Amino acid sequence: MRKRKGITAADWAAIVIVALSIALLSMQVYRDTGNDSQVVIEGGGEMWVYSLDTDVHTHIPGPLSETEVIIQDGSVHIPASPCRDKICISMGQISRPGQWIICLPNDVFVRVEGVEAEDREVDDVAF
Amino acid sequence: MMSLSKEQQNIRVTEIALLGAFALFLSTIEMVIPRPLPYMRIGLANLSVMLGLAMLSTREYFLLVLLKILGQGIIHGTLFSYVFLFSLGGSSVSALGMLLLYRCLGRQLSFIGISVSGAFLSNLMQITLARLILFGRSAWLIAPPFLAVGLVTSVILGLFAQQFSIRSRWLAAKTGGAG
Repeated sequence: MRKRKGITAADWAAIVIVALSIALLSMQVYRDTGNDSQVVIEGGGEMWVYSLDTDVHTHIPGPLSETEVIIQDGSVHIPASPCRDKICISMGQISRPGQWIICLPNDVFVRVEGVEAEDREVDDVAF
Repeated sequence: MMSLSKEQQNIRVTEIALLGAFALFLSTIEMVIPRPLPYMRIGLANLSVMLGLAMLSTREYFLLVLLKILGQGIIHGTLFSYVFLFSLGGSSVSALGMLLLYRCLGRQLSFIGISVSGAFLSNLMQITLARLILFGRSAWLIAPPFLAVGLVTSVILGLFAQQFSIRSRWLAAKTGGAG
C-alpha cells in the first residue's frame, strides 16, 4: 500500500485534464446558444414547443386528420398534410424567428420564435 | 500494489459485505444532504469502492460494485426505472476506469486522481445516456456545471480517501501491512 501524503504530480495532471475537458466542453456547448430558437406548433386546441436544434418528426392532430411536421437541421417544414390545397407544404422550410407555416383547413399553425440576430432589419422578418 | 496469494483466491465474503454495507450506508447518508440540483450527487458511496480498490481482487471488486449499484437502486427506489440505467452506466464505467488507473498508474496516482477520474467518467457516461435516452442534444447544456461540481466533490472525496488510507490501521492490516 502506498503511503504518500498530499497530492502527487499525477493527481494534478488528472485534475488539470478533467478541468480542461470541462472548459472545452463548456465552450463547445455554450458557444452558440445566443440565438437558439423555438418552434411553436399549435393544432387541435393544443400547443407544442420544440427546440429548433432538436430533430423532431411529429404528427399534429386537426379537424381533417394529422399534419406531419418535421424539424431537421435547424429548419421546419410540413412534408404531408390532409388538406386540399397543400399550401402548408408549398410554404417550404422556415428557420428564422418570425417565420411561420399555417394550414387553415387542418387548423395547424407552426411558427419559429426566438431572439433575433442584431444585424437583422424589420423588413427581414416582414419579408 | 496488492497481490493475492493462492490460498486467498476464494472470494472474501466478509470484506465485500462490509464494504458493500458501507457503500449503502453512505448512500443513505447522502440522501439526507440537500442537493442544489436534482441530478447532482456527492458520490459518498464511491469512498467504499475506492477502499475496495486497495483491498479486493478484481473479481471481488466488481462484486462490490454490483452490490453498490443494486443496493443504491433499492435505497433510492429507482431499481426498476430508467434512472437505474444512469446509475448502472455511470458506476460501471467509473469502476472500470478507476480499476485500470489503480492497476496501471497506482504508483503515481493517489486516491485523489483516481477519485477525480472516476467521477468524471461516471458523470460523462450519465450525460451521454441522458443525451441518448431522455433529453436529446440539450442534455449537454447541463454538462458543464454538472461536471464542475463533480470535479470539486471528487477532489474532496479523494483527499478524504487518501487521508484515510494513510492513517487507517484497519486498511493497512487488510492490504498486507506497511508499504
